[in-house]
Amino acid sequence: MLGFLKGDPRKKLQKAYEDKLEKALHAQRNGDLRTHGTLMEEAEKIYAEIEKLPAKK
Amino acid sequence: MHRLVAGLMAVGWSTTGLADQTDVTYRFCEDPWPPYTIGSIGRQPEAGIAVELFRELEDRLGMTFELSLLPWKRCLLWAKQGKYDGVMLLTRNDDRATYLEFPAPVHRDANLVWARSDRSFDREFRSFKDFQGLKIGVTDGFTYGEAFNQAVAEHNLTLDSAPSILSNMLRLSLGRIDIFLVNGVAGESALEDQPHLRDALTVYRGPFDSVPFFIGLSKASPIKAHLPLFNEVLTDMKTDGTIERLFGIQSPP
Repeated sequence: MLGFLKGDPRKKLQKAYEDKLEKALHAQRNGDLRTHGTLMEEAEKIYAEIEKLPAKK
Repeated sequence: MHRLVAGLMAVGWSTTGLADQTDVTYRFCEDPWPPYTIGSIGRQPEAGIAVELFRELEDRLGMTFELSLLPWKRCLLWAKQGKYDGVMLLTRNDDRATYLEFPAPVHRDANLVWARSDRSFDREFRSFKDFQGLKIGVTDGFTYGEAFNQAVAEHNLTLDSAPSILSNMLRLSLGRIDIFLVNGVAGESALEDQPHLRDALTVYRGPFDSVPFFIGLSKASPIKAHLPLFNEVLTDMKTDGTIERLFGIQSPP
């Protein structure tokens, strides 16, 4: 019943996704396309995990 | 144990049935919705425009409000059942109007079209058809209105979703999407700590009509009797500039 008071896995994954994108953007701006590609791939994997969670609204 | 606590919360938090409404604490809920409510589910909001609005209303109405962040569907359900006296801020639809009274709108805002500032377009985004051929960033769980939904089907628009406003802004800057749709207040709030990202982006007015935002008063709560008072005070707050101070410049209807 009070499960909503526990940590929100969506929020944690969302933050991880944003962090990956931010690092990917930084790598892109520095011309490091290899790191950029790796980070984008990792970001997409995190988003795939988010999509598996039940819809929020 | 959890069920017992939840039952006590449901009964104890309800103000329904109390005779003297001037001495009660009215309970309003919302989900975390920056910049309107900031904080974690299961707790009181730490900050936010809607929180400031309610503090102002406390002073003007002489009422006490207890504010809580809940999962969105639970917030609506408990307001519908009268376990909560209302919803802090929401848009109006026919279903919600069956269990909520809506005083005068407190805010109007429209979705805008965000893009990279170094990108030029051969169109001015005057209609949804101008989105054709572009990869459009949208945020999971957000609704963009019936007109937009129809345009997506009619013009075969390409949507690409991400879980948050900030992640869409980042994807925009990365060139993963061509444009991103979000209202001005929420968009600027997400970029508050990202000045370099903000500088790399620009905003177009776009084809969206502005949408009114309301406080919702539960029809199952005695607070509904105060609808005229809410209307009076909200009108005063518009007239004296308080609403604009809290929410910023209002989009035209």
